[in-house]
Amino acid sequence: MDFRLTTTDLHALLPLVILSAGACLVLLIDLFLREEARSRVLPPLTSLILLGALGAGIEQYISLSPGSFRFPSERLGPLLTPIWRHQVFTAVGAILLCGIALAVHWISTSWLREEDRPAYGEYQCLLLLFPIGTILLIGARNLMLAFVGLEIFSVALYVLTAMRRTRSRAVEAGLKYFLLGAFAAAIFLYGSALIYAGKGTLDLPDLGAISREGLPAPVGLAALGGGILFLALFFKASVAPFHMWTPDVYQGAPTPITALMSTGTKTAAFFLLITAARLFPHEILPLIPILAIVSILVGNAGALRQTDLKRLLAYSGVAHAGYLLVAYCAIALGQGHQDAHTAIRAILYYLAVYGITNLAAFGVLAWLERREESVLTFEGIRGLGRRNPFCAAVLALAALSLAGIPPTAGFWAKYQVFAAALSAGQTTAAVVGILGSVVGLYYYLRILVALYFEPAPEEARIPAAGFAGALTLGLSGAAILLFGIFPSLLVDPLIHIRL
Amino acid sequence: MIASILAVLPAAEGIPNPSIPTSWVLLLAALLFILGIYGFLVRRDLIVVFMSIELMLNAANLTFLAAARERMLDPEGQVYAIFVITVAAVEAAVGLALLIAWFRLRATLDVETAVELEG
Amino acid sequence: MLADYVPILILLLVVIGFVVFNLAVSEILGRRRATRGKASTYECGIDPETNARGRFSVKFFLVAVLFILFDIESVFLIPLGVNLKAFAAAGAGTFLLVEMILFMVVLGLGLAYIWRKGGLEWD
Repeated sequence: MDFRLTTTDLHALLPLVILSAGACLVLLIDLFLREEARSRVLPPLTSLILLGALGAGIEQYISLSPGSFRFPSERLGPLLTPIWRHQVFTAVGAILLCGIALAVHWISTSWLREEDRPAYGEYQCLLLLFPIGTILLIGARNLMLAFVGLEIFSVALYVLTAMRRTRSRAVEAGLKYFLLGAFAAAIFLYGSALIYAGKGTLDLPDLGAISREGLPAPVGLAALGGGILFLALFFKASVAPFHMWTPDVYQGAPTPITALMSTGTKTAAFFLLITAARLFPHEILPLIPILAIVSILVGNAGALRQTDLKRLLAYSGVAHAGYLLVAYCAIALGQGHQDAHTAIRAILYYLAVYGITNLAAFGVLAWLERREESVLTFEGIRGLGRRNPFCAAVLALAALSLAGIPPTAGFWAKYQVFAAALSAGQTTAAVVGILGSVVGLYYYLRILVALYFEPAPEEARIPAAGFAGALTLGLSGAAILLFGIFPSLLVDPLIHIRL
Repeated sequence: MIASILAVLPAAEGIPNPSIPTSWVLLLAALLFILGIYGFLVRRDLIVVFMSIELMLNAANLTFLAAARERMLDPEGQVYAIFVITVAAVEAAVGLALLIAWFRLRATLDVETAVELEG
Repeated sequence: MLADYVPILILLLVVIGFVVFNLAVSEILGRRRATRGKASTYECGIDPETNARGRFSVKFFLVAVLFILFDIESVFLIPLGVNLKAFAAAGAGTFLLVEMILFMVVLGLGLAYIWRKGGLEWD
């Protein structure tokens, strides 16, 4: 056997190499610098590492797209071929997740500074572990590698959630997340073990790629394992009825981490749902539209009665998982891979837009939260339009985009998802999705009303945000508008996605 | 007598002892897994809940090893088992740390006390 | 099939029989004389000073957690070590050695981190 790493191998792993080396470097610097030096060196260094990985992802995307002069030579060496997929799909995932991690890093700089004992090195190292785990999960060809990735980012999130370990709520959230997350991981693992027992391999393309039609449906142990595996993935994507942990954990975690969780975990889970779609046993395929409908109903009904904004966004996240599942129906149940690829593009578009929008919303919340925790209710954002027009405008844009109102990117995301489901014949799920979005208007507009049409409470002062946080908010707000007015800016780059 | 006992044990190389059907081992693993789920859902002590999760991981491990044995000691399945052991250790470390942090704040490990986050 | 397990069954019976036989014989033949020394906690050692159910210090947990982590790493080194010769014969010995060293370096980095952060200090 040939054990040489080729240059293509290194090219394929470049984002991971940058992130891993960066994480080690951050740990070393944390050890050997004094506190104030650390607070000056580490945040820019982390930005640099994440920007580097993001750049590597974009470079991969460009060189993998058809028409690129390097395209024919992008074949992996013998060592990486069985475990890694060097595709546009993986590169898009890497770009999304590095972008999310970078935005969270920028949102959290001023938050971190105000902590009693800022844990610079630990925080940044764990933040870098998150994209490492999620990119491994997305690029993995082998289910076991995907599991290792899943665990890397989950463990990083458990620790990040409970980082403020003297605060009872944070530790409670961390513990709940850990117990339920580890439970889901064990289920995932048992599912893959059964698949291995049934098929003798955990290679995803061998088990059935989306582009390969006519493969026999999984039977016996493999079917059972596939079903169990999907329960775990639905849990990670917080699809109802596996969403119970979401509101509690979102509320208890530090707000930047909640942003990471809501965007990054959902993105990673849906990427794996897409690549593993053919493992789903056919007997329970009709369950997917039902789960989509339940998620939309539970998420919207839950969000209607929330006063805490983080819990509201958690339930809205459950509803959004439902909308994503509506498009997923087209992959799992659709005929022919034309439908499937339309749906994949719709899901990726949705994930990108949802990521940007949620980062904007949680970014504003993180900004407001720092003074006192009560500002996270509707009470806290009353009259923000006059007190801090910039924050209010970004939050308003995010709410409009989550609601799916035309001049924002969220509208196009919902449109594509429902169109993909309709063209694949999933009418019921799509109709419920559209009705659900109408119900959702109520609580998203409540945010707008609180922002602009209610008087501000007395002596409520907004703390100043750092430059990085403001930049992130400005960029994501601008992106929501830009992709809303010119959706093709985000649609066209996804056109080359093949699986 | 010792020689006859040794003869029953799996040979060091080649096909392992076929006298126990793989389906029995898979069944045992499934029972362990269900026991783990039961413990996770029913028990109140966080340490026991945590142990139930470990039991589920080990059930998965046993399944991997049984399947590898069925396929002429397929190294792939055995390597997966090593990965699982490592991941279980990582989870144990993080989980114990969280339990300690929790115990310092609440002075109990009862699940029912985790009720602060609601709404 | 199951008949192969008969020797194990015999062994079990012999073991249990041995224990029962010895206990019974000493019960029947032995003489009993209560002395102070025999009534004490243990025939040698120190008298216990506190309840055995006292709590362990959290420091033990830290050591236990660190032990688990570094203990598990040996699971990876043993297969590497066992297979090194076969890999060397296939011309991939250097590759495996470099992989192993990289692994150990990352592990060493972890150890250095713990050390420097004071995780190994008892007080």
